[in-house]
Amino acid sequence: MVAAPRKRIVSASDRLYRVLLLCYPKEFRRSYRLEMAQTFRDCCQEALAEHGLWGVIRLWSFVLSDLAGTALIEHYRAFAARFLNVEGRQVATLVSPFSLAVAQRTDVGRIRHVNEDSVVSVVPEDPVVMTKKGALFVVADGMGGHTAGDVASLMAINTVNDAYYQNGSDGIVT
Amino acid sequence: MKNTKRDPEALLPLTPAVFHVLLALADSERHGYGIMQEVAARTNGMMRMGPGTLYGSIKRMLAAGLIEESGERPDPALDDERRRYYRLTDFGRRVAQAEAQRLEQVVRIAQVKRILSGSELRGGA
Repeated sequence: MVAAPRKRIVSASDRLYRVLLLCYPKEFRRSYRLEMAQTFRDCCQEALAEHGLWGVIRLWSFVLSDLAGTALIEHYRAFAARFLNVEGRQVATLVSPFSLAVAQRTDVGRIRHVNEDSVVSVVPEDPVVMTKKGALFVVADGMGGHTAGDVASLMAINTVNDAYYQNGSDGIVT
Repeated sequence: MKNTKRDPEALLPLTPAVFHVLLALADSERHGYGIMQEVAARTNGMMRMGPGTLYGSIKRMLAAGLIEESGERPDPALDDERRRYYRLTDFGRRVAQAEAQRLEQVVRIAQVKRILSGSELRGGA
């Protein structure tokens, strides 16, 4: 192969790859687009020098599958960082890809004036406790018609909470 | 990432890409393409990383404090383009050691189960 078409193959590939980099999220692109384009150019020159045009075609098929997979991953991570607030917990997500968000709500209802329901959700901060015992969610419905139903439901959830996490055995206590 | 007391075990197991990047940087600082070349050479081309896999890994490894940037300069072996170099941190080295030990244990299991012939099994089988 003569020198001029070689140069053209590399520069055309380079231009196309730069356009394809638009598949990645903005923030990722800002940090790495120059380095990635540079690295791709190096790979392209190497493939061309060692295996000619066929080498470049093989490189493209490999790079396209790499691009499709990693662009999806980076978009997912960018999404997770923004909406699930996991950016600061990068290290934890390397091990466990899932996190837990908890919300709770009760309503006093139409009859009573005091909300007698109690709810508790415990998501242990300590990863060891979390692995061993998991999270705890308890809902105690107020005992309508009895005195101090609110006290009773509060006592119920506190008792369950204490008993569950103070029990040394692994897994779920029944 | 500034905390030197962090437990390397907490990051295990590493993805193959992350472990290979750590190994490639163990003896020398390198730029992205240099890392690719080193990984390909050491694995006889078995482990291939595209730019997306490489820089996705680099991004997360920087965030986890396993590697750090060590400036920009041209690579005399290639051309006069400036390239960004990366090097291993102390923590990155400890994580690579921990992963190597973990894999060593896995290999030992494979030997005991006769999936892989180990030196202690030779002649006995």
